Amino acid sequence: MLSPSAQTGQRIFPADPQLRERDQRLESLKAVAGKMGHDFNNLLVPILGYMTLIRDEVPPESPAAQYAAAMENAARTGESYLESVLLAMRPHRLFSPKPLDFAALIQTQLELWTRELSPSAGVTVTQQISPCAIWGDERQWVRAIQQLLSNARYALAMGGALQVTLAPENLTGQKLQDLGLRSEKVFTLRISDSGFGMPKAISDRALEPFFTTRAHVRASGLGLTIAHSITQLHGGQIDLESCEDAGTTITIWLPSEQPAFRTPGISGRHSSPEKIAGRILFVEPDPLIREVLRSSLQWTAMEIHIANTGEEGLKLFKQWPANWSLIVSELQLPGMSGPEFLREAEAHQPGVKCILLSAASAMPEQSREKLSPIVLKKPFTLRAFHQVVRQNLSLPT
Amino acid sequence: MKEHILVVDDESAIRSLLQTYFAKNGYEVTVAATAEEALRLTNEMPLNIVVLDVLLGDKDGLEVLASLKKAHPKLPVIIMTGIGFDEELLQEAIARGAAGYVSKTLPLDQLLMEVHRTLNYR
Repeated sequence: MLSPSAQTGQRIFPADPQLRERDQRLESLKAVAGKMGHDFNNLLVPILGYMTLIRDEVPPESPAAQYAAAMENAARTGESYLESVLLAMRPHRLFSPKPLDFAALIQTQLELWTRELSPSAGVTVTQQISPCAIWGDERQWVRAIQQLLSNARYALAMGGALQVTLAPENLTGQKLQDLGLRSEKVFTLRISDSGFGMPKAISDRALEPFFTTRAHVRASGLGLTIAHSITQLHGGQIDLESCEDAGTTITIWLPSEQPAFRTPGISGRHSSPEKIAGRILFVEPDPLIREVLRSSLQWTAMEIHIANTGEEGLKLFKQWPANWSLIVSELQLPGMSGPEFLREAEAHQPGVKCILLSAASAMPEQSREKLSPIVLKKPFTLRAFHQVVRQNLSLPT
Repeated sequence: MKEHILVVDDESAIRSLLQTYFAKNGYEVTVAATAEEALRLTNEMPLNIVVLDVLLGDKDGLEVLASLKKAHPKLPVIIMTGIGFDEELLQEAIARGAAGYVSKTLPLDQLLMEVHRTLNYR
């Protein structure tokens, strides 16, 4: 369920220079790590799938079945790891916000955390939690809070105090800009421990993906990145203050009104392509040119069809009703030439708009008279190509 | 007569996996690597169901879904995604006529169940 007001929010970077630099750096790192996580996850799909097929084929007690089971377990462990990676880098991919009692969620997690403390841990817990309802993803917040409390537990290994506060706050204009927030009314969550803290060189990098000082215990270094991503996805901001031997405070500001969620989406799904309806045919034998021209038209909502040769293009052209918006054809094609193909197409749909791509210096006379296609001579820029497309579609250039 | 599935995915390993798996489970299977090929095949052959990757190399799978449903309103299309399904994507897929959705990372038998379910509720 998405709120009626949920929509893509324009990213606001904080005015505070340090926070701004941090968020920009994190955004770049997350983009790279997110892409890798996504691609590796896709590689796991056939591996796990074929494991299922092997399991069905071999006798359950055979060594082969045991090897397959071990491989499947390893792949499932990889999958679970990638789930954490993707939660940290692309939390919007599994985002189900709804009205959420954030105060109750914090209290529950804190109770669970406290219950795990042994009497000899030497840890005291104080809390001051005001009622707080937000629009959020419960599963994500449970994960984020668990990560933060887990870090605090480590920092309090030698004992100390944990203090958790959650309260409404009105932010002033400058503070709002410094944090890069939209809403003046926020809920502020602070989780402070009096543990051993971090030197500045560490705390400056603490939110970076995969950054950990606990590699020896196989910590993933994703906990704070997950908290950062989830906070930002909910329209909020997170900051970390730490002082060696004095402790660490994590502060999270969350808008108390429904935020415009920052969900980047897939493949420019939210990028509001120009709604240019219609059907376009590329007749181009060179796959590289096809790829570049096609991807350069992603800004339209045009239906794009591709043919390698004039003959193939004509077959495709005639398969559909004669209401093609545009043909883009190479002049020199194997077999039927570009102008010959255009003539045949013109016979099927009189007046169809055409663009000829040409490496040669001039067009044959007869096709220029008959069709008046625009000729784009190579090399040409994509800007020039778009201009010609716009002209042909009678759009402002 | 075997029911005919069209699997659309730009990853060849996933195409061949699903082709093998569905064939093993009694379906006739045709595969397509691109949106363009998928649209062409749906016009050329009788199909009972399409299993469509949401992220195709040449086009957003949701746009392909809309085109498929426009051309063949009664042809059920199941959307597949590699990395979970957010609510927004789900709503968009349903609005564009998806009959169901699965994550590719789920066990294969769940995909098969979704295909069974969809074909039985046509």
